[in-house]
Amino acid sequence: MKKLLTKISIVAASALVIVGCEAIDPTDVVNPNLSEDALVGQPNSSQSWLNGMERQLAVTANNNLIVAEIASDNYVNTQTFFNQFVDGLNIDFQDDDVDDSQFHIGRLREMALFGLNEIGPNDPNYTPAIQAEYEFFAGLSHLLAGMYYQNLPGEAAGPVLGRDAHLDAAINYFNASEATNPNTSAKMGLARAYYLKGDATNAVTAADAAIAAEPDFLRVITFDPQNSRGNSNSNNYTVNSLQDALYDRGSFDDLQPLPKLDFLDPKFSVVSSNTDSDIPLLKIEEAHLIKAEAANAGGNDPGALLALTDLFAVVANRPVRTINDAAEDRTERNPGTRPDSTDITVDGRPGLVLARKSGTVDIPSVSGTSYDAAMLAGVTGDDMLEAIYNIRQEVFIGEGMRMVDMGLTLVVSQNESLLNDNVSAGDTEADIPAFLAGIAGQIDAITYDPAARTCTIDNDITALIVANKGTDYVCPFH
Amino acid sequence: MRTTKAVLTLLLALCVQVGFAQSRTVKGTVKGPGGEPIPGASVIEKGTKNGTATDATGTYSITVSGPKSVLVISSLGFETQEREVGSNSTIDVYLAESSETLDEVVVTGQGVGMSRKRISTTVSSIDSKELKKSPAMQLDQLIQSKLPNAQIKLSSGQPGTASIIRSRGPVSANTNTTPVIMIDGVRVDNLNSNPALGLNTGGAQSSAIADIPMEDIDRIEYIPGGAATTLYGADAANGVLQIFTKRGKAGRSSVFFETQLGQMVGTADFLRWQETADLIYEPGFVQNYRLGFSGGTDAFNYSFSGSLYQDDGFNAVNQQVRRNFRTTVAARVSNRLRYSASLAYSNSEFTRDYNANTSYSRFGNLEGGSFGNLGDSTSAYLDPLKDQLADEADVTNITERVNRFNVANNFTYDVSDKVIVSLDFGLDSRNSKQQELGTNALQIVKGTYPDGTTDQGYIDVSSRNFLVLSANLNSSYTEKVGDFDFITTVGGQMFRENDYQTLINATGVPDGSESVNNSADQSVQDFYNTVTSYGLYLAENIGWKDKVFLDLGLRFDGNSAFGDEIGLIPLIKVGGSYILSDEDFFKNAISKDIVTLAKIRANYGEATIFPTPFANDLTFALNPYNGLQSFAFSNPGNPELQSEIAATTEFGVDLGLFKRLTLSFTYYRTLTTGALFTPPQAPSTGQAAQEKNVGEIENTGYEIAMGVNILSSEKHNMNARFSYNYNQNNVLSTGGAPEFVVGGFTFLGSWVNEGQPLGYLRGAKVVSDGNGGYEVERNAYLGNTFSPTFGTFGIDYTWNNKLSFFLNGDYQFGGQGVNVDDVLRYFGGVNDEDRFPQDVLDAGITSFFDLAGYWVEDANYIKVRTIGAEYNFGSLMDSRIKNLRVGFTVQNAFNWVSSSFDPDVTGSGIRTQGGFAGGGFAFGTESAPRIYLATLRVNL
Repeated sequence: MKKLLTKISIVAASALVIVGCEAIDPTDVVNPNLSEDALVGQPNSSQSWLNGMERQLAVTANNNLIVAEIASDNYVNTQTFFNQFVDGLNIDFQDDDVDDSQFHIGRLREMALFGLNEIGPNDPNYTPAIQAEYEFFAGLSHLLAGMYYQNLPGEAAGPVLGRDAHLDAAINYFNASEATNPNTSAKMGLARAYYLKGDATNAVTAADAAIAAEPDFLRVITFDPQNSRGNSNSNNYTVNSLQDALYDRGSFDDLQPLPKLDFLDPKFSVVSSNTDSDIPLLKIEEAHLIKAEAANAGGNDPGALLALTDLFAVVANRPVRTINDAAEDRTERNPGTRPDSTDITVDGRPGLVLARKSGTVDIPSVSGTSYDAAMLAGVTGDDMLEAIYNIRQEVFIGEGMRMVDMGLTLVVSQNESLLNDNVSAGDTEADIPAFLAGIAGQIDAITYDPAARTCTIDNDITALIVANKGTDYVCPFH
Repeated sequence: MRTTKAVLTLLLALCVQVGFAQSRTVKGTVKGPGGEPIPGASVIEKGTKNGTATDATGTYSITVSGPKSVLVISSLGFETQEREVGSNSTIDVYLAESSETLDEVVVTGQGVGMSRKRISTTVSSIDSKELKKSPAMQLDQLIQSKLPNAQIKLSSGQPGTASIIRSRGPVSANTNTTPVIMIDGVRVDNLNSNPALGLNTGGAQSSAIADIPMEDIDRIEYIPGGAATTLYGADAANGVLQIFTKRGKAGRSSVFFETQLGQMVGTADFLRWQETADLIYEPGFVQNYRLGFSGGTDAFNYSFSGSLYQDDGFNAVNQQVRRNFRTTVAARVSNRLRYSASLAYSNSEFTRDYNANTSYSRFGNLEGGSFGNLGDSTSAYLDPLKDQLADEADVTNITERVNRFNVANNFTYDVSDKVIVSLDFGLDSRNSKQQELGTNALQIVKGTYPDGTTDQGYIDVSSRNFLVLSANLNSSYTEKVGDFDFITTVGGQMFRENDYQTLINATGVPDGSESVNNSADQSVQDFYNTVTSYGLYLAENIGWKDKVFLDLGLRFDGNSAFGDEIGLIPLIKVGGSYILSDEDFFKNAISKDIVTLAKIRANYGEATIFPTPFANDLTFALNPYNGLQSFAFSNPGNPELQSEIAATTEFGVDLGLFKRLTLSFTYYRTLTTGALFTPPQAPSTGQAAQEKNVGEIENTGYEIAMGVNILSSEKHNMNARFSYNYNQNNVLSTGGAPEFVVGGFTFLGSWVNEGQPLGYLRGAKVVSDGNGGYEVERNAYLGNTFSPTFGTFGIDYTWNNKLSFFLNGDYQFGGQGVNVDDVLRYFGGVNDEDRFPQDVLDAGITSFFDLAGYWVEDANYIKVRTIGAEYNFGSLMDSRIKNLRVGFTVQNAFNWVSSSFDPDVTGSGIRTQGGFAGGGFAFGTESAPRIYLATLRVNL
C-alpha cells in the first residue's frame, strides 16, 4: 500500500511539475493586438490605413456635427443627453464635447501625417491616389479647425494657429493633393477654404473647377453601425450619431428641428438594420452657392440667380427617401407642443411642416430646399443674400455648416490648455458675435399657437447674419 | 520556474521517505462552562493547517500526527485551550467564556495558520454559526453587514448583479475596491462588474461574485489590505477575502436536509410613486432545497452538499435558478502527508429587465417620469399602462447563464515536528453567456419602430470564458530558543488568469429565432486578457515570552502586465504587537476584572494592484469597417508601467473590559504611490489616453469594532456588536495630468482630480453672483460617493440554547449620491417639487447641466439587512434526528435613508471589466427586494 502511495505521489508530483511548467509559464503571455511591425512596411498597409481614415472621419463627424447642429438654430435639444451648453451659446472650454471635437480633428490630422510619413513610404503598393487622399485628409483636418475654431493647435501639442493659418494649411494640403492626383474632393476643399477666407476669386475658380470635373459631385461620410464599438464617447463608435439623434427613437435623443426646416427632418434615417445613412461631406451644391454668394457680393444678382438655378437643378436630382416616421413625435415627451401637421404655417409660409403620424413622408437625404428660381426672380441685394443663406441652411441641414454661417466658433479645451504650454488664456475664451450674444438663449425659440395653427420663429437668424454681414464673423465675401 | 521545480522535487523526495510516526484519531466534545455544546468550535493541530470544527452537537474528530500533537481548541467568545494528545483517544473540553479572541487561529495573509496574538494586523472572520443565520444566496449578500470593517452595497435588486465592496476606501483609480477572493487557498474570479464585452441592457452590471459556489462554507476570513496583504502582492491592496470549506469527520455519517420557502417582494421604500410598485411589482415564490452528508474514517473523510434554488423574482421579468454542489475530501496519504480537496460546481440562470440607460427600462421609464406623474394619474390611465407594461415584460428576453467549476487542492507534508511544507493549487473556471433577444415585437411594443416592422430584430450574445490557475507553495519552520520563538515561512505564489470574451451582434433577425444564424448580418468582436503574477516571499514572526511579537515579511512581485523596463518589485512589511495585559506590572496595577486584555500593535506594509494587462504595449488596431480592413492608432504604450503600490502604516489597540466588552481600535494611513491613472493626452495629439504610474492617493482613517455580552446566564445569552469606520480619501497628486472621468455622465460625472476624493461628483453648481443674482460654476465639487463614515451592527439573543433572535444591519454617513431618476423626470416636467429654488429658475437657469448640483443629495442610511428567529428542537425521536431547527428570516427588512433614492443602487458608476466603481448614480434599477423565508433544517 505504501509503495502504491509513493508511486502515486511521484506520478502526481511529476505531473504537477510538467503541467505547472507548461500552464504556468509567465513568459507565455501574448498580446493579441497588433504591434507597429504588423502595420508599417506591410504590403497594402497604405490602403488599410486610408480605410482607417475614412472610419475616423465618421467618428470625427459624430463628435462635431451634433454640437454644430445644436449650437445653430437648426435644432433645439429638448430632452437629450447630447450637449446642453451650446444650445444657449454657452461655449465653454471645460465642455467635454468641445474637447472631443478637437481631439477627433487632431486625430484625423495625426492619422493623415502618419500615413504620409510612415505608412505610405514603407508600403511597396503605395499609389499617388492614396497619397492624394492622405493629403486631402490632412487638409480636411485643418479645414474643420478653420470652420469650427478661432484658434486651435495645428500639430500635436504644438503652437496655436489662428483661423486663417488653418485655412492656409488646408489650402496647401488640398493643392498638394491636387498636384499628386487631381480629385474633386480637393477642389471642393479648396473652394470652401477660400470661401471661408473671403477670397472670392480663388473660391469661384475652385468651385468652377469642381463643377467642371463632376457636376453632380457628392462625397459622403460612411458609417458602420454593425461594427460600432463602445458608447457614443468611444473612439470606435461608428454608428451615425446624428441619425440616432434625428430619427431613431429610444435613447434620450430628441433633437427638434426649427419648424421652418421640419420638411427636411430627419435627413438621416434608417437604411437597413446594419446600415446607417451617409452624411454628405462635400457636395457640388456648395460650389453653386459659393458662386451665387460671390456674384451677389459683386453686385451681380442675375449671376447669383443663375448660380442658384444651377443649384436647384442639382438639388432636384438628389435622392428623396420615403420613410415611415410615425414613431416620432413633436416632442417625444410632450406630443403636440411643436408644429406637427401640414396645416400649420411657419412665419406665414405653408407646406414646411409634415404630418408624420399618417403614413410615410418624403425627405431629401442629400439636399432639399423650399426655394425655387421663380421665388427669387427680381430679388436683389441683401434680400438675395438672405435667400442664399436660407437656402444654405436648408441644403446643409445636418452637415454642420449653419454654425459656421452664423459665425460661431468653439474654443481650445481645458485639457489642451493644461497639457500644451502654447495655449494662452485667450484661446479658451469664447468669442460670440454680439448680434447673437444678446439672444443666446433664444436662438431657436418659437411661438406656436396650436389653436390658430400658426408658428412664428422668434428670431430670424438669417436676417441677423445679413444685417451683420460687415463683421468678421459672417458672410466672408463682405 | 527552476525554483518551483526544485521545491517540488524536494517535496517529492520527502514523499518517498514516508515516516513511521503513529498517527491517531482523537474525538471529543467541546462544551461551554454550563455544559452546553459549542458548535463550530475550531480544533486545530498546533503548528499545522490540520483542523476541523465541531458539529451541531459540539463533537469533533481529528486525526493528528502522534501523541506529541497538541490540539488548539478555540471558539469565538471562549478562552482558547491547548491539550496534548498523549495516549488519549477522547478529549472532551470545557471552554471558559472569554471576552478576548487572541488565540483564535487565522490563516489569511500569514502563509501559515497563526494565532491572532502574534499578528499586528486585523483579521475579521465569520464563523459557520453566524453564516447559517443568513439565507443569502450570493457571497456579497452573505457577508453584508457581518464584517466590522467592510461595506457591501448591492448595485441592483436584479439577480446576479454587481456590488461595491470596500473597507479602507479606494486605493486605486484604475480598479474597483473588490478584494481578492480565495476558496481554500485558491483564487477565484472576482470580477464585480460587467465584463468588457458584456451586454449593455441599460446599466445592469453582471457579477462573477454572484455565482461563487456557496455550499459547505465553514468560515470566512477578511483582511482589509495593508501589511496583512503584503505576502499576496499582485492585486491584494484592496484586501483578501478567503472562504474555508467544511471537512467531513470520522465516525458515523451525518446527513442534513434543509428547505427554505418564502416570498420575495419588491421594496417600495425608495420609489417616487407607489404606483410604480402597483404597476410592475408582483411577489415571487422563493424556494431552496439543500442536501448534504459527510463522514469518513481516520484516514479519509468526505463531505457533500448540494442545493437547488429558484425564485420568481419580484416582477414578471427578474428570475433566477441556481444549482450548486460541493464535495470535499481529506485523506491522510501517509503519516506525514495529508491531502485535502474541494470541488464545487455552480450553475446559474438569471433573467433581467432593462435598466434606465435605455428607454426600454420599464422601471426606469415609470420612475423617470416617461409616463407622467403617476401619483396624479387615474385608473383610466394606469390600467391600460399596466397592460402595456405587462406586454413589454412578455417580450423582454435578457438572460445570463453561468457554469462554474472551482477546485482547490492542498498537500501538507510534515517534514518534522518543526517544518511543514504546504502546497495549495487549484483553479476556478467560469463560463458565462449573456443573451438579449431584441425581437421586432419588443421594439414595436417599446415604440422604437412602427407596427409591421419585421427587419429590425436583433440578438446580442456576450460570452466570457474565464480561468484562473493559482498555486502557493510554502514551507514553515517553527523554533523556540529561550524566551524567543520563531515562525519562519518561505514561499512562492503564482496565478494566471485567462479571460476570453466574445460579443456577437446579429441584426435583421426575424421573430422566433434564438440563433444568430437567422439574421441579415452579424458582427463579432473578442476580448483577450491574460496575466500572470508570480512572487516569492519570506516571512518571520518572532515571539518573546509569548507577549511581544515582531512580524516581518518581504515579497518580490513580478507580473506580465509590467512594462519591459520593469523587473521584480520588492514589497516589505514590518509589524509588532505587545500583549500589555500579560505583564506583571499591568496585572498588579489594574484588576483582571476591569481590563482582561490590552494589546497594542503597529505595522507598516506594502501591497499592490497590477496594471491593466497589455496596457504597457504600443499597439495598433485593425477595425472592421464596412467589410474593409481599417487601421487606427490604438494604445500608445508605456514600457515603464508597473503596479501601483499602496503602503499602509497602521497602529491599533485591542481591549477586553469587564469580561464583557471587547474593543478594537485601528488607525491607518495608506499612501498609494505610482497610482495608475489614465488621464487624457492633449487633444491635439489625437492619441488615446495611456495608463501611467503618475498619481498619489491618500487614505486615512480609523476603525472601531466593539462587542458586548449583555446577558450571560444559564437561560439567557445576549450579545451585541457595533463597528464605526471613518475613511478620508484624497488624491494628493495627479502627476500634472488633467482631471479625468471615471464614471457617471457628461452633465454630472465621477472624476479624479488633485485635492478631491477619488471619483468625486463633478458638475455645475448654481452660486450667488454677489449681486443678488445667480451664476453657474462649472465643474464644481458636488460630493463624494464614498461615505467617510460607515459601519455594521448586530444583536443576538438566545434563550435556553433553543430559541434565538438575531438582527444585523449597516449604515453610512457623510457621502452623497445623485438622483438621476429625477433628472429624467425633469425632462418630462414631473420632477420633484422644491428640487430647485424658484428664483434660480426665474433667473433663467433651466438647463439640467446647469442645475446638476441640485440632484446631488446626502446619501446617509441605516439599514437592517436581516432579522430572524430560530428554534432549535435539539435531538428528537431517540436521536434518530440529531437536530431539528426551524427558522424565519426577513432580508432587507428596514431602511432609513436621508436621500430620495436608494444609496445602494447605482445604474451607472461601476465601470466595466473591474474598472473604478464609486457608485452614487441612483437610477433606473430596482433595489434589493424584501425576502421572507422560512427554514427547516434536519440533521440525521
